[in-house]
Amino acid sequence: MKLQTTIFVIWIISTVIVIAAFVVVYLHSKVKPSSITYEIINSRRFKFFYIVVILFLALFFVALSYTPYTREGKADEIIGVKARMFSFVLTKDTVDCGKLIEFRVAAEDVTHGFGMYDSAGTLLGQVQAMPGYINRLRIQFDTPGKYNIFCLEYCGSQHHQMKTSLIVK
Amino acid sequence: MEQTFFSEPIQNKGIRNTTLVWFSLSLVLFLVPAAFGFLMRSIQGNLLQDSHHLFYHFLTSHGLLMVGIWFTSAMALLTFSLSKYVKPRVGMYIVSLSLIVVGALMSLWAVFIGDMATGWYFLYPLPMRIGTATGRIVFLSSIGVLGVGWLLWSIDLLLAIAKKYTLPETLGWHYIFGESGREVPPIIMIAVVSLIAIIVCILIAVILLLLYLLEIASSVVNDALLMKNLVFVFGHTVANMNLYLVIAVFYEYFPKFGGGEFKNGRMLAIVWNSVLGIVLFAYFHHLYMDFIQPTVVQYIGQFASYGAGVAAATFTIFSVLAFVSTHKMNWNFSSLLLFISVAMWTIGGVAALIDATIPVNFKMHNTLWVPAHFHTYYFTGAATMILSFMWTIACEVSGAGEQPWMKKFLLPLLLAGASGFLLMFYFGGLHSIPRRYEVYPVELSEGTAYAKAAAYSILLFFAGYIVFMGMVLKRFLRGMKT
Ligand code: HEM
Ligand SMILES: [Cu+2]
Ligand SMILES: [Cu+2]
Repeated sequence: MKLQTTIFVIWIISTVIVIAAFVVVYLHSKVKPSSITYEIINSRRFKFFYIVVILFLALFFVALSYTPYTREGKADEIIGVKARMFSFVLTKDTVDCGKLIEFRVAAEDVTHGFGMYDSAGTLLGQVQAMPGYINRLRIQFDTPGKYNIFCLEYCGSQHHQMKTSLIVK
Repeated sequence: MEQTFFSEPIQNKGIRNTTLVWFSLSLVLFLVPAAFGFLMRSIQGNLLQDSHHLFYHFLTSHGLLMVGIWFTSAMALLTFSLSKYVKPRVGMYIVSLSLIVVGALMSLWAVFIGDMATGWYFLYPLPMRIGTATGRIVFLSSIGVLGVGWLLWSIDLLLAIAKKYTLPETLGWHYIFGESGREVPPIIMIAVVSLIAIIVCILIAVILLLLYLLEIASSVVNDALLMKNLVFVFGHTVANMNLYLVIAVFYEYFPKFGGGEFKNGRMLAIVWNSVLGIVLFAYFHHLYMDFIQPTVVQYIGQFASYGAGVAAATFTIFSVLAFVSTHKMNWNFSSLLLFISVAMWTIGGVAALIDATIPVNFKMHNTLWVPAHFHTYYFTGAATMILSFMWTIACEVSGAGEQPWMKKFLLPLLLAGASGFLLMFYFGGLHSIPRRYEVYPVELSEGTAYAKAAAYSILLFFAGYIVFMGMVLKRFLRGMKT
């Protein structure tokens, strides 16, 4: 399953849980106060606090091992990217399947975004293209086909038309 | 209806009438950026062909006006509510509001006449490259005028509080260190935390504006990464403090619907003091996709974002659920809408925390997932909380109660319209549809259908909103006369 779908499912499940919790609590507020008082529930807050903290800490450390910032080892191929109003210039527009590609992304005028989409229209990853800096984005393409690159940072009146493509053989 | 939540503020005629005038103005003014929002979804959904070229102008103006209006309304609501405990100066209140109205009008002029369609966070160096020379100056000045208005106001509120409480007291340090001391209501503590953060981020915005002026006046070229950091300290913090300002008022009044109160104490003080420390670092999550930013800063951003989430979940949200489940609540239009806003804030918060996770952000940043989550906690969360309080105030100042159909029909209508609108953003995020696109490319054409559905949902919301607005305005007018 692609990450976007997983995320969406997680969000939907959380939303259902939140709504269910609010509805249950709402219904509870209409009946006569039971023996459980606010003070009693308050004393359980710490249990909830620890659960939430442990969950977030776990998520935090898991996430750290999947960040796109790693620079270990050498890339198989380097492609220079220059973004400007309103086009991308790539030093190469065809790459081989399975190779680790490093895009070195720069901008000429304003900040743009470099978003790599597969042929099904799923965003594989992105990086900002900022004037005065070079951002390095590493992607390994495992399926041949046509990949689209869209601008993902608002850069002016033709922002939505700023795109190019990359062929993976 | 025998509610008297706001009896002290209502007796303060100057504060009351200034607040009512601003609230009335903001309810009507809201229609302008709301209409821009509808027009944007209509353009994206191919329902509208003529005003295509105005899309990015609508976008910029929508963001600026929405944040401006709701931030100001939150400040006004806080000023009104605080006047139960302290004495804010009416003169300063009016001066600040006037500056803000001037700033908002200047920004409208700059965007539409000066052609400054920069997006609401005017990412450097875009404002230097587009628009007219006058437009640029007016645009930057409008941000300056808004900032000065909010700054003067925040300082005045802090001074008013300082006349009655010392700073360590307001921050609840005597609770933290177990010393004896006066009772400080949570509204004071949360207000002080938020106002300090607001003042810090406005001062940072001043640096940002000065750097812009320097570049306009001389040949100095600014550093894009620094400018991006500066603009997000400001933009992120202002948007978040908007919610906290409302939460301060919420702590004071929501429990009254169940005949109880939220008391200040050691844990609450620790939490809000840490929030002050955490919240200024969370903005780093806006720069995850700038790989040149030091990596440790990115991790701090994720940590701080999660920290803010933990604080919100285990304190405010937990307290609301615990309180409601143990009290017999008076469920009227206001309390029900407030309760729903807390749920929306939670739902949007979950989506925000997901996006504040670096590997997720890599694939969701600048897609429609972003407007999806921030509209959920900002529009159906914070702004809706303010609307709920406006309703309570409207009923109290006028002595006119609510009709049963409001809870039965109006509320579901508003909720259905808003939820449909939001859900289409979430679907857009699921399908990697970029945010801020005037037209969706053929490769991402699902975006068009979602935009169309969103436009129809917005109309449902508008139908309900107009009725609501009319009822509130009628009551405000009656209240101002007494
Ligand atoms: C009637 C309700 C609303 C509608 C129909 C609406 C619609 C929209 C739309 C269509 C966008 C552009 C999405 C895109 O990037 O393609 C947008 C962006 C935005 N909205 Fe709203 N919105 C509403 C309420 C609000 C509220 C209440 C707030 C804040 C309190 C808000 C703040 C913003 C901001 C800050 C942006 C980003 C602007 C930018 O990207 O420069 N909106 N909204
Ligand atoms: Cu671009
Ligand atoms: Cu762009």
